[in-house]
Amino acid sequence: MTSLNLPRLETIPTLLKFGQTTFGKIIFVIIFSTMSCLYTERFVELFVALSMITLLPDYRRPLIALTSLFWAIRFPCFERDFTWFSRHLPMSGDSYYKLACLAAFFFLTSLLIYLARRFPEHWFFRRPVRNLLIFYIGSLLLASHASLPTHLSWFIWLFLIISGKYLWFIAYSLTDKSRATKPFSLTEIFHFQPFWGSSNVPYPKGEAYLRKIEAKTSYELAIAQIKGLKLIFWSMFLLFAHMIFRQVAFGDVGFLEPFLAHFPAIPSLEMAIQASIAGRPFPQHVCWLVLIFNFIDKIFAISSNGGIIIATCRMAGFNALRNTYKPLYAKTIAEFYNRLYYYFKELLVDFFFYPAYFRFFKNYPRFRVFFATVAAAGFGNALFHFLRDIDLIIELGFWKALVGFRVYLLYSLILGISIGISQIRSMNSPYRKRSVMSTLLVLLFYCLIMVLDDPIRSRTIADYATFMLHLFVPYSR
Amino acid sequence: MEKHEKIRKFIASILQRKGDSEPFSDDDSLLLVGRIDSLNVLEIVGFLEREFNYDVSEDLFNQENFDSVESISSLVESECNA
Repeated sequence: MTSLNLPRLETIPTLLKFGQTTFGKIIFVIIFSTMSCLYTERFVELFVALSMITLLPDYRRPLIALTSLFWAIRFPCFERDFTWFSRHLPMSGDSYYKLACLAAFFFLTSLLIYLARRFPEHWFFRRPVRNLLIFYIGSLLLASHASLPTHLSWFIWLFLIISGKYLWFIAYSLTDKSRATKPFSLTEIFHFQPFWGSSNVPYPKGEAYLRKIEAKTSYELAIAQIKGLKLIFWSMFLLFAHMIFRQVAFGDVGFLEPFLAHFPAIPSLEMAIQASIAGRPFPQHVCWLVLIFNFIDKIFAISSNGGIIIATCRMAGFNALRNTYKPLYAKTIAEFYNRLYYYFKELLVDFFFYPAYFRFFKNYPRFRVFFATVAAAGFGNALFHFLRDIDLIIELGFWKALVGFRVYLLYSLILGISIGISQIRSMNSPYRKRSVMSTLLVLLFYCLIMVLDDPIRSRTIADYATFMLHLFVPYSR
Repeated sequence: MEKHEKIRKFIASILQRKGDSEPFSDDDSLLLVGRIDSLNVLEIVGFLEREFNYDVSEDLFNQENFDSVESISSLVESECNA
């Protein structure tokens, strides 16, 4: 969500001095952990982990590795997919089985990264991300369609579920530019899916980036932690505002229920689309309200979740940039994307934009940028989400899942082209002041396009077109 | 020295275009603190290609090396001395 300028507490000398004392560090961790009990049940574990990491900065990396390993075992990031998969394979719900799979995955990943550092000139490691993705997609096809013995097929699926969660972390490690000089270390593997949280997108990027933003002195640690505290307060405010918003807008159950009993709730986007498909659309103004409220809901969720992750990362001693930073201040379509999904955008830039930019159309500067942008925000974005939703590939098979993905493909294509045009328009253009009109147009674009960013894969493009049509053309029975 | 100044001026123009009027020194971090972003890095790459015939290959490209005026100048210098 947009924000006012938060006070620059990290520049106050007294506070910085206090933050460098042992007592100050403990107070900071206590405040943070107390706040964390508002959003997670793991606040005790978080308190213990952050206390150790803060008080023993020389052992920060091994402590983060140990904590993240503990998190991976205790709260596996693939838990949901495993639980889902256990319908097909009962033993995948067993904790020892999960542990064995995790151990096998860490062993093979360590081996892969060791080999990448040892043989950087090998054909596989000259284009490591491309080859990794080809290997991963090939394995998906094999598991989906080859007639394999049942147990082998299950084993491949389980391996793909786990490695899917770590795929982009591995990609960052394989492309670490300092890999030639930096020996392989096991702690690096255990920084994948770190304890401060991540989705399939690594927050904040990979090991090379972490090294750059890591606090080297007690002074830098104090700055990072004060910024972490500021961000957690801001994120909690957003979380609270989001809760109120959902109660008022969508009629969620909560403490405001007695006061809102007589107010009609706005239907969800899902209900509005279903109603349009069924030929009984909501009135035009309700459709618009649904669209706008759905957009606000998404921005609240992205801002608060990303804020919590980065705040925890800062408390662990890394001065990371926020994932969402004043999105409503964006003047262009490209800027909005950058402000809303910073780390996802970085992933797309690192693995799709730069490779396309450096390889193609060197003599056509503007088209070069456009093409690279479409490669990233269009193709890269679609590929990321297709691979992320592995449960659908297991359920439907590779090709049917791909067909079900057509709406998201259209979304990615429109997004990629729009961001591309926005990028080349803003290149070398003079400074423009923010205007209400440009901001509104950008927001309207995202309001409309986010309808297509729908996790339901059974609908057709025509279904969404029907809903869109009802936004602009009043329905007459 | 001339290269260094040209790079500095170009980065100043990028920041000005973004409405960022805060001063910056040669070793101030710009990318890691979010004052410039990946698109700006590409503008800088394009500028280096045009002005100094600096051929940035994908294998050697590292976004984080474009963090400050000093680091960019060193990149160009090392390319010229190679």
